[in-house]
Amino acid sequence: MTAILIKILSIILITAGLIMSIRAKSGEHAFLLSLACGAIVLLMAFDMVMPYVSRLKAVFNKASGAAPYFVMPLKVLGLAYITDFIADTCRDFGLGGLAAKAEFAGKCAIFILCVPPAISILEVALKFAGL
Amino acid sequence: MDVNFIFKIAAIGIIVTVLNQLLIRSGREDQAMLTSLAGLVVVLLMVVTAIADLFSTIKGLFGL
Repeated sequence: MTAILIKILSIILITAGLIMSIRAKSGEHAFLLSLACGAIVLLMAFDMVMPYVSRLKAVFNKASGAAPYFVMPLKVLGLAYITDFIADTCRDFGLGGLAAKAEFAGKCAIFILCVPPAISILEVALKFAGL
Repeated sequence: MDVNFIFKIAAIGIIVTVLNQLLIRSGREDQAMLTSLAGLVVVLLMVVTAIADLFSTIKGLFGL
């Protein structure tokens, strides 16, 4: 695990140097380089985490009825990671407006994901209130 | 997909930049523009595959 972390950190350091050297000459290549580096680093990190998450998922699946309480936050986390990846890459290159829009879209998606549990909680509350 | 991928993209970027400068110095601005455009498209295609890979991994991992 530590070896993978050191590998990831060194990749980021090397890419930062490469981006610095290219940025002034051709900004578009620097942008694509940063995008590729981000994608590869995230892929490596997720590959590292994947077995543990699937093990947790299996445990939650064993307890009947508990699975949705693990799957829903996981989905929200996934949406947040995708949105953050794109927004951060945009913000790195001075595109704050686009980053804000990406974050807004991500928030909308997460809100939609959160509506069904909220409705079920409200229904339980209404049932208790006798309405 | 590894560090080599990043090096490949950086190498393409450097080569295209040098070629661009060379062509501009020799007075062929249109060819320089086309060269930089071609380099950009090639790198874009490579990056798109990486990002598609990332998104499918996230979809699988987080059950989206």
